[in-house]
Amino acid sequence: MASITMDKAKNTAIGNPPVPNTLRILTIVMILGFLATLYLGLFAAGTDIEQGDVQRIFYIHMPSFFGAFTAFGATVVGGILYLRTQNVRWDAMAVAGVEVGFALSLINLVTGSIWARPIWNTWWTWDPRLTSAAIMVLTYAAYMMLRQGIENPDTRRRFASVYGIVAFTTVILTLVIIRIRPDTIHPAVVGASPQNAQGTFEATAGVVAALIPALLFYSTLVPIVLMWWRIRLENTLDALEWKKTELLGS
Amino acid sequence: MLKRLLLLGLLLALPVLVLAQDETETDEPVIAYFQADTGFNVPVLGDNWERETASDSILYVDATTQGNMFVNTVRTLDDSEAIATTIEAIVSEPVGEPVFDERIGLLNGTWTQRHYVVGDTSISAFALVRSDRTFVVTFWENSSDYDMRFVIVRVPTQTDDNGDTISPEIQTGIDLALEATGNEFSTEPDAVEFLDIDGDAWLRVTYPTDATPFNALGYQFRDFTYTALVRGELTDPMLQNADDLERLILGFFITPDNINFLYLGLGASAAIFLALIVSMWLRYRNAQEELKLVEQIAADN
Repeated sequence: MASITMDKAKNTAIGNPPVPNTLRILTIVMILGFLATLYLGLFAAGTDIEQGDVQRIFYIHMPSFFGAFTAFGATVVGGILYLRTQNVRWDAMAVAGVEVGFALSLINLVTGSIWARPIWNTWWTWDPRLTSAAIMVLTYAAYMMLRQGIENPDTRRRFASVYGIVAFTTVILTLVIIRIRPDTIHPAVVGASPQNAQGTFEATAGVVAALIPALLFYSTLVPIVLMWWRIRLENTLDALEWKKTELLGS
Repeated sequence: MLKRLLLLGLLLALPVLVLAQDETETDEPVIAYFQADTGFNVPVLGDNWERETASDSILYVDATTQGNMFVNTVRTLDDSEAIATTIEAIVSEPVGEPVFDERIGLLNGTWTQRHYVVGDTSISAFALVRSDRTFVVTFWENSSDYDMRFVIVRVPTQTDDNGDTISPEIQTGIDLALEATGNEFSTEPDAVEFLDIDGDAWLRVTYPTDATPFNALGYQFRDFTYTALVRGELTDPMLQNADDLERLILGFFITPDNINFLYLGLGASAAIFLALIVSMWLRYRNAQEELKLVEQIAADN
């Protein structure tokens, strides 16, 4: 089984190809995008007079979740296509989605906790939304650890594909839980906030003007560029693994 | 190509999921606010008031009643010093001892409330110390026709026979305000009536006096009675002034200074991004070196 996988890896692994110009350009655009969205959030959007400056964390907090959503969604797509085609490129996309999504969801969780300290007067509470977000982050952390623990590449990829698809339920749950659990205190900006929400603020023109570009940027360019780099890394690791196996076999 | 198209489709679908949700609709009235650079916010009052704003203060002047409201920021933790500084800015002369001095714990903190008499002018002052500064709200009238002072009193919550909380009586609050300011009347009021001022229910109590009329106005908000004590002929614009000061104090709030938490959030986000990028770069570099080594060994063999 391992030899079949290695043959496939041989056909698909890239090793050390030059960085495409598209990736270089997108990376520069991403850096400029970070600066632009930071400017919009920190300077162009007005200060929330009830919450103060800490409300500006929201312009990273919410977009980073949607960036994670995109990345974890790519993991689902990669997982399904890997299971259908056995092409390791799809597995590379899946693992890249998990790693990038994990970083973005960690940013979401940490910035939410920092915002909560002055607004809710606590770093953490076992609110349904916070709990589901923590479960989501831990689920994907477990993905990375479990994946590392499986030696056989084919088994590892199949397991990771199934896990990545199933794990997406935690993302969906985190997304919709504020709509189905009225006891959450987590505010919603799009749509009506839950009845017990604390720390809500109005989606004024300034908020929308800073939020929409950040949402689009974090949910498209950031995961695409970071995943692309991560896919290149995975291809290099695949090539290394294949070369090692080939060397040992010779 | 198929992979990229799939990714692109997924990414384009995402904003639609977000934006397709219903916008929040609210029936709550929108209240315009003045925000000072020093952090306090007060409602913008009606057209009967002329406004003069500065970075650290706002002055409202009603030409009809000659009433004035001044909200000021003084960089001190001493509320007495802050009140004195504010009043001296108003009347341009040193302030004496207050004729009334009490503290009241409102929902946003403990306020010092004092009354001063400077010449013909009586001044009601409310001060709140927060962070490194003191916010002072003052009301005074320049008219010699009347004298209006404000007091906020807390009416202890009462319970009925079943232990249920019952709404405090405004009259009780007015009686407490009169007692606190030394305006007690031994006789029953001449008239007691409810007034509707801009949708707020005020209780007006007229007391018998030999000469100058005396009215007490009370507005109840939760456990607190906002009381205006008026000596002189009470007119509708003066009632409006009383309601506006109540709105100003009730609507007063301070924007919290929590920029350090913003810095912490930005720092944490940058650290996570950097950790991801550095980790990827290190693994890539190590893999490349290892790859070269393996290729070298393979070539040697």
